[in-house]
Amino acid sequence: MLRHTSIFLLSVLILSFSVAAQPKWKRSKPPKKIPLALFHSTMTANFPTAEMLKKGDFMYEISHRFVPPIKDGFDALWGLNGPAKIRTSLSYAISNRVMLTFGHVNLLNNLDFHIKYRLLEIDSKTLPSAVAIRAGIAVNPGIPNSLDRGDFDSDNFQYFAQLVYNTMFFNKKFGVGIVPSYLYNSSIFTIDKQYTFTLGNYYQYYFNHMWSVWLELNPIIAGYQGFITPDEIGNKSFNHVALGFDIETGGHFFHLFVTNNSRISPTQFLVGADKKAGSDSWRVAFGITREL
Amino acid sequence: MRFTLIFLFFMYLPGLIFADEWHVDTDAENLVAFTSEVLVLKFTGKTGNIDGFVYWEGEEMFYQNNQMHFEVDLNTLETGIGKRDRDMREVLDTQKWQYATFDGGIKNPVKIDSSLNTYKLTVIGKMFIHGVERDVETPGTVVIANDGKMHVICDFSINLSDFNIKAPSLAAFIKVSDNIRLHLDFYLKKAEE
Repeated sequence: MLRHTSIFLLSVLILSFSVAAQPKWKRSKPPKKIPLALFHSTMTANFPTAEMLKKGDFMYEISHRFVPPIKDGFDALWGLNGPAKIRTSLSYAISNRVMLTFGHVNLLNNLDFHIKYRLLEIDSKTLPSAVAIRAGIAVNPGIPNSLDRGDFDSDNFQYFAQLVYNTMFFNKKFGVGIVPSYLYNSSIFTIDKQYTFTLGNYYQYYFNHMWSVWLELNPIIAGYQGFITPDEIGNKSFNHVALGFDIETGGHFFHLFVTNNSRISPTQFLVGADKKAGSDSWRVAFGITREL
Repeated sequence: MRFTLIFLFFMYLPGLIFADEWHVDTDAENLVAFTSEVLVLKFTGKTGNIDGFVYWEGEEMFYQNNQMHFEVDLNTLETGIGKRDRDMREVLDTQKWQYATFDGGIKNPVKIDSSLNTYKLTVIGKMFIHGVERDVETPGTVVIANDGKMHVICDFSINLSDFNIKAPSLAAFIKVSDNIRLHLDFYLKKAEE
């Protein structure tokens, strides 16, 4: 009895010492959770992704679509002698989920403004997904003088909306984007207002952090697919195809590619390509973005 | 009765041994910063999200059986550009190893200014980053301020390659320096009983 009591007391004593001699600190804040990140950039060459800028960050874009086809050869420096459709734009994140973009394209002096909003993300191991919506407005004040219409006449305005769905496979090496898109007032030169509905899709494979290859398609599903400028009257618009590679370094993205589509502004691009994809329609193109 | 009194005495004896514990004041303006320089390009990341404690036994500060644990949530590091923050998280693989930690103790604490309660000391222990643990020994300064808070300042360098971290590209074909300077400036307050 006495021995049991002694053992008990000794155990209590040792326990008391060990409890008292330990720090009592516990982590005071939970681990910070980061939003799901899929594609590396906020945009492909022509489409939005569901990625966003960080609140307060800017992004600048400069893009060229050379009009002469590659098949014109050395005389046109394979298209690089121009002319070219040129786009410049500036984006700003007013929050981690909302991005504003102001852009300009030289074709019809097109000015555009759009908002992208990240709706939701699903952090699934098998199908990680992110969804965003983008909507915007554009005006085309560069109309011919012969047209009896002011530069900012309501007929010169166009409107568009897109849903962006992104997912990735193979340990975030291969990305897929689907972008159903709606455009209203597809051509500002038609008497009746037209609409165009397309189902944009893109696929990007990342070899590593710096190099990737991609393919873009934008088949026209319904609506208008005709001309968008007076000198194109009688011409059709065609399904867009672009194939290229990206170089990513620091805050820069370089999109280098060939395409059948020389149109860049969202409200011009979404009508379709100015040339049918084929051996005589491929043009050199590039886009460069820089996050600031 | 005598037996009970002896029992109670030994129950409370541990409470008579002096031990002090200080926790990082997470509401203070703490700073953990790293800097990498290569050519004329400088790259800095910062966070205020440091947590942890310092503990010792005995009445004199850091006297005996001292130990410390500090940790930084790497998902809170910011470099000024969101894309660069994301790239850094991928390089550090924060999904697998979200925290950088340090566990160790203090050696050679020397009071250098009795009016300001300032100590120069050496911190020695193990640093854990990116799944790799390395021994670290670095000098530091501790000041016990008039408001009773402990202010710690410490500067040292690490090599990314020591922690299996692949130096990322800062600009086209220019990599971040392998050697990274770390600057820690944070506050602790006495733990509540």
